[in-house]
Amino acid sequence: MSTSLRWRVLLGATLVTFVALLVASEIGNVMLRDGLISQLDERLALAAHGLTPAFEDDGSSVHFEWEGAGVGPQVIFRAWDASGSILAESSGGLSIPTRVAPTILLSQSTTETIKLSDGSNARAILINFLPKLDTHSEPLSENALASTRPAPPVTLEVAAKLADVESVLALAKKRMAIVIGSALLLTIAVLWPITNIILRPVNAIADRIRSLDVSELRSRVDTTKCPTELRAIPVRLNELLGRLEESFDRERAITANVAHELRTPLAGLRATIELAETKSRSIEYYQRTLRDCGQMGRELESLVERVLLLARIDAGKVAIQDDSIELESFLKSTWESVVQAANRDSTSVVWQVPIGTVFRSDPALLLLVFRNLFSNALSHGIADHPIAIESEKDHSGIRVRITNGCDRVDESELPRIKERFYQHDLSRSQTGNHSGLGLSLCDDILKLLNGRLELNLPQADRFQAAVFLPIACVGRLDIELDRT
Amino acid sequence: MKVLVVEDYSPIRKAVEATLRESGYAVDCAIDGAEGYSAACNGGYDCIVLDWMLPKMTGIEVLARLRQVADQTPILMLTAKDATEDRIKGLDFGADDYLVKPFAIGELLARIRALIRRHYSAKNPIITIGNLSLDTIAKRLTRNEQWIELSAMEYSLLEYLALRVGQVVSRSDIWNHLYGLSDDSHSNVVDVYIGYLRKKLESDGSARILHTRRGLGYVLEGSS
Repeated sequence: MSTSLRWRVLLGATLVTFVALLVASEIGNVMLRDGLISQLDERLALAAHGLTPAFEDDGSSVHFEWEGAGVGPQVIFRAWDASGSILAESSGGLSIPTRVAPTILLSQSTTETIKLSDGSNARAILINFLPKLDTHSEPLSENALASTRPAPPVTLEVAAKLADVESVLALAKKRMAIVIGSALLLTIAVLWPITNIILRPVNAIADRIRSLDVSELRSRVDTTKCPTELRAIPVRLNELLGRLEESFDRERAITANVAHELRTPLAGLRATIELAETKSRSIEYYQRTLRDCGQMGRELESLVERVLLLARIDAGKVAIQDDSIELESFLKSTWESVVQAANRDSTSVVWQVPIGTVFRSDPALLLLVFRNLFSNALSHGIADHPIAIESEKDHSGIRVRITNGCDRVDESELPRIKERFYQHDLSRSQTGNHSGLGLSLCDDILKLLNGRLELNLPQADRFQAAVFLPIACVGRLDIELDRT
Repeated sequence: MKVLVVEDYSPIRKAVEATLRESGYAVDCAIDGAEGYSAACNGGYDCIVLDWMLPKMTGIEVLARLRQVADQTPILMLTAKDATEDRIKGLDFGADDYLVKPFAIGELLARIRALIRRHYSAKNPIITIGNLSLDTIAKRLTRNEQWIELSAMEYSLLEYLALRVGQVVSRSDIWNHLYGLSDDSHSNVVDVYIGYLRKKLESDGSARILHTRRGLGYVLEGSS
């Protein structure tokens, strides 16, 4: 079956028209048949009553004296008395077959359809009457009168062939078939342009949707001209396009940011090398150039690794290890490595991490998280504000808070800080380790570990990053070491 | 020629600065937008190499502000943004050229030279003054196909004057543009180099084309 809406509408409408006309035709046929038979029945009743005067009772028997009293030659009849003796019968080739006729009361009549002797259908009326007395015979004596029987009832059946009625009905059927056929053709002819009009908005939407491609994600399907029944389609499609556009924009932004982050150190690398190549230089110059290139290479490596890790997290390809971690020693060793790498003094740290908190998680992934957070605290903190590293555990899990002085972030920025490549400085002046991927990476890693990263400003000049690891994630949380 | 390099990423800044210095340009550097804008307003540069993404004030903001105060110094935008709309935006804001990172140092130099030439209405890289021909790419001076050897400082001085042929240029302007210093207490060095240059230009008995305008400065005269 065609999936075309037009064909469905045409087929449906044609089918409905056909069925409606067929039913109407049948009803008309039945009504016509009933009308014609009713007329025939009336004519038969007249004929039957016209025949009754021809039956006379002379006291001893009933005899039929036919004088052609209003009965047409086509009338077929038979009359019999109560004993079943035939009193009269029409002449001619056709006769009413002998059968058990329905019993009827005196002066009543009944009609039915019968089959004549030649097998053709006929309509018959059956009446029961008392024949009239024969007034032409000599008057009976008193004794004879006293001995006469009561007049016997006569049953008369008059029939007429249904051929005329059937031919009229057959003709009516033929004409109705022509009418139905014509009506169906007319329906298709009328519906064809109508379906064009009906389906115009559907076709318009289909054309609009067909013309959409990746380059047109910003455009939307106009819903104002859309029929109410179809409005949900373009509305949902527009919502889908919106989401798709956001997704593409996000992809584009990330690609542009990655390109920017890669291009800047690459440009530095290329310019530095090309400059060194322009002429012969001192050994010290080459050594300095190599050191600079090495530093830029490390920045590139760090960035590429972060981007790749994010991609692996997105693709669900990061395998999570399960190892025992002692929180205090883990945090302190991580902190020392960060401070060492940054050539910074670690004395401005306030530790409030209880010893002996052991849990199970992925130490490599957590190392990335805390290195990032500690590095941020060192880089973005205010020099004379100590960094506080504290932890607490409860029935739900472990929470580690890193708080540092900060006068650059305001409340409105907090929701965006975890976005990929977000930098406080919109000019993206930080290249390399602070390229705006760190917190995003921490957030993604912690989500992978069923934990979360919460960022807030506990005071106007304090920034806090809180890592929460649920107990469900860490497996078990207990004091295994007593390091008093 | 005096060039301002505004770039926050130090390896690029240092490499561009060194390249330009080795090519005979006087170079000033700024590490953020605000410092760059301040320097551009005060420096009288022949060209500005401006990064787009800068702290404190973006390169686009610096560009827009400079154009607002009718500063027509040629500006070469140096950026990692390579999308067409970014290039259009940069050029629409008044940048004269656009170079995407990473770039070849040679291309950067060529673009700076072209911008400076264009700024001084010298579209041809070979500047002709009378029978002298100054090739700004090969950095060579010839007269009637004969090469006249010039030191780097003499060449820079001649190029600076050749691009302003017919214009009187003050001693302090020359000092500033060639040495990148605003303090002109040592500007008699300029007189010394002018003397060297004259000697070479007139060595074959040619008429003087480098004239002194007393109290005003120097002017290179000749049909170009």
